[in-house]
Amino acid sequence: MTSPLSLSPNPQGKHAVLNEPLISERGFPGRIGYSLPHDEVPVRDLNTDLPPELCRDALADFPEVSEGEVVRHFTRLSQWNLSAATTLYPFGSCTMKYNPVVNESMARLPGFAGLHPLAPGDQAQGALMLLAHLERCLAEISGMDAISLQRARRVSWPA
Amino acid sequence: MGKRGLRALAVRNVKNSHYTFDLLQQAGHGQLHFAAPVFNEFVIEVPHARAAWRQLKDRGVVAGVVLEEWYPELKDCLLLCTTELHTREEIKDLVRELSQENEVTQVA
Repeated sequence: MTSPLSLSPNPQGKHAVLNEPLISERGFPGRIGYSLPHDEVPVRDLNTDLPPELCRDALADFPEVSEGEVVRHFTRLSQWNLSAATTLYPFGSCTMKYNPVVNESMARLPGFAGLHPLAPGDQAQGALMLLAHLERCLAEISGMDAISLQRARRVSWPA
Repeated sequence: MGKRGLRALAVRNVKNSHYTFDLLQQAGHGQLHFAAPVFNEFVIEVPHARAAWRQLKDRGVVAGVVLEEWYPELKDCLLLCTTELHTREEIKDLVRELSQENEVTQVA
């Protein structure tokens, strides 16, 4: 039996290489890692709301794991990556999205997390203020007259 | 979420959206524009939709999207969506606000 944590030679760096099974090989039938919010809406009959032919009864080969198992699985996989914290990270760092962890806390602020892309402008003033301020900061740092955060194409330069 | 969790989530979305437009239709202030089955988004005809949407926005309720802005042929149509995150009270608030707004608009 292989130990879940084994220090194997790794040509890319000095990471611990974890022997990690596929997520579909983890878990247990019936396990759910997420709780729906409390349901107060009166009981309805799904068969009258949606034609039965549009509903599948079962999803074959779908993982059934707890939240902890998901977090541990993907955290282990993430250890296989090259990272800016452990190695030189010269190319591809943009498309691979080197995002500081603090960004995740900022993105979770209710004013940002709850903002819909089609929200009316007067209800999105906080986000617009942030964008305008960032544009001014980037212009000042770079010495340009103005900066636009409008994306030129789907993946911005440098890819 | 798992295979059971994903199904439960989908069912909740269907349930909430159908509850919402049933309430709107019962209140007599909206009817479904399209006949196709609904998952969690639906287009509902509301009298004076654009004016009602503006009035509601001023009261802090964003009543979906006024489709006429992009599709002139969908005059007085709102695109609404409810998910598992919407509570019964929030849905009833939306219906109440939209109903009141239509009464006011129709009188005016």
